[in-house]
Amino acid sequence: MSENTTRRGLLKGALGAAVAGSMGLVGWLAGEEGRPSGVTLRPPGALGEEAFLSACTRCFKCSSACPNDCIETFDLRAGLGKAFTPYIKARTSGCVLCGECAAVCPTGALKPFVASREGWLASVAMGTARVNKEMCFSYHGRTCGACYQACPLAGMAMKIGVFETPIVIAENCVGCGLCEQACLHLPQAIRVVPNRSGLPMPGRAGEDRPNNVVARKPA
Amino acid sequence: MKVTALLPQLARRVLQVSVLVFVLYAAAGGPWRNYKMGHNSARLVGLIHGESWGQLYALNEDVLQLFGDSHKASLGMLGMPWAGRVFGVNTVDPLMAASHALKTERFSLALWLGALLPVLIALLLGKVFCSHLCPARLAFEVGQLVRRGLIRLGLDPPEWRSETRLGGWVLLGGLLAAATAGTVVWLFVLPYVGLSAAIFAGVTGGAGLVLALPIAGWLLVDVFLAPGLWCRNLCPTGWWLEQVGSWSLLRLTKRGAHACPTSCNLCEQACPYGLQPKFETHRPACDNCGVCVVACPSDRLGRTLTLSIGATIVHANDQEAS
Repeated sequence: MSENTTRRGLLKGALGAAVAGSMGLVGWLAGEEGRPSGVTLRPPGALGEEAFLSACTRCFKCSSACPNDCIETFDLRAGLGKAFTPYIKARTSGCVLCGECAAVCPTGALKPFVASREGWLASVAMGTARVNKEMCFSYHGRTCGACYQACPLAGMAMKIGVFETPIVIAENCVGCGLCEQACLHLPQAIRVVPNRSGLPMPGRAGEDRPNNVVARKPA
Repeated sequence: MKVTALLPQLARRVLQVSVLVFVLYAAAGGPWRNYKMGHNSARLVGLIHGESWGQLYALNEDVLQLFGDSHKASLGMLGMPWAGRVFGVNTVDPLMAASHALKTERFSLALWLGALLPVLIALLLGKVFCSHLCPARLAFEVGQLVRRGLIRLGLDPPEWRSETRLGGWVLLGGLLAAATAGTVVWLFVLPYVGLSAAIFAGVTGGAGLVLALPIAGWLLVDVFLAPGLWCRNLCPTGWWLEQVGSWSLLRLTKRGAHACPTSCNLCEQACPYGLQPKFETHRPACDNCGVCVVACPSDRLGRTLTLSIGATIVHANDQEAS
């Protein structure tokens, strides 16, 4: 090999390494920058926030498969880490828990589940509904009960008291957000607080599910 | 003239356009399913969203019903070229599968099974993804038409060609970036990924049009400065396809006993990357697009450039004619 070609090869290698290195550096910086801050209501069956962001390939299949148009996708304003990942805006369209999105997810960022009460309780943990008693009509003697009517796990995730006052049973609430969507008060008196871990709260209803085994072990 | 050479070109165009049609159709499938869920009636869709939407809705319903339950059938066309479902078959870009594995430090069997198909195609047919399927390549070819028009108008845009091929390094850099920032980096690095995501966003009303910026930039470079720069020198997908495709069965070969005339360089001019099939130096960068096959004035010279699979057929015809 002549000196000229060797030098050329070296130059090319150096240029290539520079390209690869700078891309890696930009990616690393963006990755650090894009660390998830705040919590997001993810589609049902989602892994914990960090694991979800790692696994999601931004293929838009879930938002496309959703028959109810519940799933939206972030754009770049949410930061590179979250960009083009799916989320649910509960107050405009809560999740109907049909499971289509999780069934089409190619990476398992959304774990498939059976669309039944048992299936939801076993594997859906999007968040937990919280009632603001200061705002809620029912807590002020104006019987409403819209959230209870909307709840797909009525009686389990939500019970009602006198004047249809909603009482959320937090460990059974899957966080679908239908109550928030149904709330007659503006701003919403019941809201879903997204779950960052992707795991149900300890003590969820149902005895023989692996999720519960850990929780029920004596401390 | 050379119908045998023109027909594959037509097929290539059909394939290229059908990828774009797939992206459009997969994107439009979302709203269709929403209408199906919300109204389940072409008349209602027509009344609420407009007559033409109602007709489109009904057309899609009729077609899908040929495959059984229309809602289920519509889920057979889903997603993006890098992680899509085409006629019910899951396909994954191996780059995405690799980035996913790096980022999550997990091996997803389903993902790699989907990535098998592109690898197999590359093994059998070489870089045909580049020439027959890649939406960015289609855009670049349109850009070349524009460039030719500019030259005809008397402009003289520079034509930089470089032998420095950095696709492997871009691949390495992209994987490094994906290991921390996630697979999202490819949406900005790979023009075909960005382009299809931008089309999806355009159809569904999402705010992802920013993803069309990289391809727009590369198009400008391609038209005004350096034709084929991205595909030949930088594309990481092209690079790995080339490595896998170096064993492919389908290859462009020069036939005929005697040498080409020294004055003729039509094949080099036709090649989007300025390769020289005349001197048989086109491999492994050649992606079997077959443009040079059409460009070669074989009927005059009694020599033609043909893909080897079709070669036997074409060759037999040639000998009959002569």
